[in-house]
Amino acid sequence: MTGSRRPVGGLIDRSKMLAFTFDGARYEGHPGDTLASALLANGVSLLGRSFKYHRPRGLLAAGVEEPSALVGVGVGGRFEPNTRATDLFLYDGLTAHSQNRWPSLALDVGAVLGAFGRFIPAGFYYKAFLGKPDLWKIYEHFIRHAAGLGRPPRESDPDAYDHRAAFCDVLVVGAGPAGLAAALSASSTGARVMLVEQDDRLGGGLLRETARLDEATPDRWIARTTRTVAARGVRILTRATAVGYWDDDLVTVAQRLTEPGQSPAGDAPAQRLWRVRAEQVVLATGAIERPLPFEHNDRPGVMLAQAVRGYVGRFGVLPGARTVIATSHDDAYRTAFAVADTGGQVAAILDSRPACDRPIVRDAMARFPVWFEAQVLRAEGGAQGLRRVTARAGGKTLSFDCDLLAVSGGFSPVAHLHMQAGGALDWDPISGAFRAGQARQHQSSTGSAAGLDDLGEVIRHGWAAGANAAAALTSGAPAGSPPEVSERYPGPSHAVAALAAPDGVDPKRVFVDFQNDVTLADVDLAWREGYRSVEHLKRYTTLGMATDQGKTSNMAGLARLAANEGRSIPEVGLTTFRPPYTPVTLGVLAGHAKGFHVAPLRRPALYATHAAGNPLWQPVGYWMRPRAYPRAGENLHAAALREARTVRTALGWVDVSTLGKFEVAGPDAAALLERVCATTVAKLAVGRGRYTYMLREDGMVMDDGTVWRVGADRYLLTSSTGGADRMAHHLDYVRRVLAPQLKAAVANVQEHWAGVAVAGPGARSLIAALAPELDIPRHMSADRSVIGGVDVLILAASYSGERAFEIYVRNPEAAAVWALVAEAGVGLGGCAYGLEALEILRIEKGHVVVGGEIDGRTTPYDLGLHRMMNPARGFVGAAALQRPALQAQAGRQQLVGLESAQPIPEGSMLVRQAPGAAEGHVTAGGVRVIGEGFVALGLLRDGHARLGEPLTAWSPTRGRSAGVRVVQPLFYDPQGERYRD
Amino acid sequence: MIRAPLTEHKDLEACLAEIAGDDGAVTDISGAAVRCAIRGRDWRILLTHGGVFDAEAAEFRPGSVAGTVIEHMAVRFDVIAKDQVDAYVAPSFAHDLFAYWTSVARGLDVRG
Repeated sequence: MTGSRRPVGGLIDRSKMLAFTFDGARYEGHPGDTLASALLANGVSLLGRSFKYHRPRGLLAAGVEEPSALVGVGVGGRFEPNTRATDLFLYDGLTAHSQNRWPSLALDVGAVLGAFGRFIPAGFYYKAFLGKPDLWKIYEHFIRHAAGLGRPPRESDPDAYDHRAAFCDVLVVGAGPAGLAAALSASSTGARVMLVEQDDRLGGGLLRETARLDEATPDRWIARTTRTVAARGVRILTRATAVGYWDDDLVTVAQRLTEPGQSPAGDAPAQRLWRVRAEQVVLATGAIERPLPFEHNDRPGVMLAQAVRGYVGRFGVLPGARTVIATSHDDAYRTAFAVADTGGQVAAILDSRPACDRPIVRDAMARFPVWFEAQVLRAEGGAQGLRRVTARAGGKTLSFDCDLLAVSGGFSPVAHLHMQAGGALDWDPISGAFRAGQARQHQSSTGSAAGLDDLGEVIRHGWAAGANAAAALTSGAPAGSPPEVSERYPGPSHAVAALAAPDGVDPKRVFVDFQNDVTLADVDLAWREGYRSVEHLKRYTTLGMATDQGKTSNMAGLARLAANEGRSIPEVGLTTFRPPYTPVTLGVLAGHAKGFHVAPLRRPALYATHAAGNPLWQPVGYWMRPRAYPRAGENLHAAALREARTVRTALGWVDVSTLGKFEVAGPDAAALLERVCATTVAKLAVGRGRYTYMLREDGMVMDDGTVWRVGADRYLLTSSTGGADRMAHHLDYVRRVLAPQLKAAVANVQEHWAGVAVAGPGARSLIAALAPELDIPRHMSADRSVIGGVDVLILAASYSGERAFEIYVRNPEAAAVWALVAEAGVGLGGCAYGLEALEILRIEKGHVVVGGEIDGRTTPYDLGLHRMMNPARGFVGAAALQRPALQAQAGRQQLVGLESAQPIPEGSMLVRQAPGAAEGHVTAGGVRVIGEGFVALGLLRDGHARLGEPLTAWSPTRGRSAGVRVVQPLFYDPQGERYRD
Repeated sequence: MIRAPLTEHKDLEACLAEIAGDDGAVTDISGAAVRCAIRGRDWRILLTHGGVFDAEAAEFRPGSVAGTVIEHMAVRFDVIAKDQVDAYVAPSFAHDLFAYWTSVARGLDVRG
């Protein structure tokens, strides 16, 4: 194939030149070129090597359906592999490389695999599993090395990505003739319209045509229409591909703001993901041309006929000097005229249909040799290009010297988004294509996506689709009428199905899926081996599983399967179209959430104060909390143990601001809380509180915390940090759905109150020093006071097992109170402590925690909390707790304590003897804060009945184990004397 | 949304509590929200980023309030005037939300 730039023509900007490189060689092109058209114009026809057999490959298509011309583009962190050269618009300095070849594209060592094709058909690696399993370790190394196409970059991506939402009345997907007509009519009614187009300019198929619309050339009509709809406020996006159609008419659109490998300007993002919510969606997504099945149909020089016409009309490039056209419909004749009118030779037109007498055929016969009932048997050529085509026509075998074979086996409407939206497909047996049928959401298909191929009909249908979509939403009728189309050869293309290979061709040489090197022989092999479902055919052969998702291959594979089965294609069925329609980058899916910003960071009120102390941080959901405050020479363990011992012997203070906190107020506040909490609440006196826990509706423990009566009709409920959002939803659910009759309001005060917990033998002295006027509340009492001129609420509660108080203060004033606590506390021999010390302390006291012992599978009985249950049993989950399986107790995982002379690995299995079957696991492991030895909490089958039993805590993945003894889950101050006055 | 001068908020609280009686409750949540004032012609475009919220709807006009999620952060909006909207977010998220909007605004495509 010897492509060349024509001296005139095309929609490129010939006044400017752009320099680019391909495999290190420097070339030039024009703005408006794709990499593919620019390479063709420079006479480059070899663009890649196929996946398995390393066959030389050129361009098949001109758009996103291109299966073979995949390149790596860009440098460093901007490098993007597997980029279609046909979907990459030229920019100055573009750097591209071919893939899957060594040492070079022209001379690729991997091509020897072609000689071993009979040994590596579809599914050969499954068969490698038969026989000696050890040999697979040898095969695997080579298969992995050979697998894949491009290589991902190793450097970090420097670009920014963006997410944005848009809402509209009518979303039009595709700005070809039908889409533009739909946008015209819909926008004329005053509807809010959005128009998205994956190309870098509007027009679609019009960009290669010569018809006139409202007496204007296509480019002029497109420009005029664009101005009209833009003036009406239509949001127009180019380089924007609708990649997914989701529930409730949500369509995701991936927009390239820069081309692959190109640096964005300034702080602009490289790509943007639009989440578009539309009332109505018009799918004007066009149709994809199908290749023909014959031997070596993948050779460089074999191209789709409309693609050839596109390169001529849009890019001013003639892909070959001497062309043969092979077709099953009238449209390809337009390609013959386009080639000839731009100075190329047309050696022959091979039409697979019987002779016919239509104007376009008659005019072609007057200019070129035309054969009917003709089929291509074989293409001959190689890395240097196409040389010859052999065909059968009229019972004779004919041979044509050529360097370009333009093929067309008909068109497959792009129904992907329609199917993603749950739509059904209808089958047209004449043209051999599926097209959009019954819609399930508010989508409609138009133009060639609906199976139409007469331009006038496409325009009228598009206009009507836009009008109908808008009519559902506005009261206005569309202004104006559909554009008038005049073309030399109006009417449909009379396409017939051409999916079957000619008799006598070798199926091993007929390619179906170009990107994955799947041949007709592979489809036959799968069928012979029993893979007769279309889903099995796909997975066994990988037909349709490459990055092009079978856009040019699915139908040929289905046709062969149907022929083998003796059934029709619709009976065989079609695999499911899934998003994305074309590959999307992980960057555009991530958007802003990369690096440190994968999720927002929640900073508690004391964040800056903690940061000044250089703590070790612990992410807790979105929060960052101090894990420990190591001093010089301390690691985490040493710091945490020092802090915990300081709490036990003197005094410590910890930030508890992140706890869930809710104020429940109103005449029925207690009643509401007794629906939520599994313990009694109504009997609390003002100023008193208690430990409580909450169940899910299935009876499992959901969260725990404390509840305090802070006023006659007002309560403060606390819950865990990690469960705060869940508790907020739960409270709302109970209030609005389960008990709407109760007069109680719930306010989330999690960030109204910051909290500092002070614990230890010196805690009482600290409070007395800070609030000398206060009558120190006894354990589980609450009172208000003033510290340093700041109003505070003091709750006497202990999580550590020592005498303790939680000082609640308004968020903005937290730092001041913390400073006062720290100043006074240091004087009493105390220190700040973090989550690690808190964990060690709570393990000693057997206090359960959400995510550890409260793991969604444990009931109050399992955790030993049942004695606190409200006997009235009116709380959420009470009914489910009555289920026999939860009442039976036998066989359940129950909370136990474990002690050992060795460290007990957290998360390890509890077994009678290692190795052995797991009978439970260690939920949390720590050390004795005072004294020697190690302790842990765990969940053990029938644990309550196994006290004293020796077991092994076994972690085979970490190669650790420890002998443990099952004990009560309480290792420190069993009588609770430490926290009572 | 009721706006009142800071000096009058205690009186307002008492007044609301009296109005609510047994049919409602007034709870002090001061300090639990940070206000971000967004000013400028293109604030609607800014608010289309990072969420699925129709900030461009004509109905979202001065006097409107709305709650949504922007980049995982719950935010409430109060449209003050044609070119002014206030956003309220939990203090723990304020730093990141402000940083997010600042970075989006730098690369804002106001062509829409």
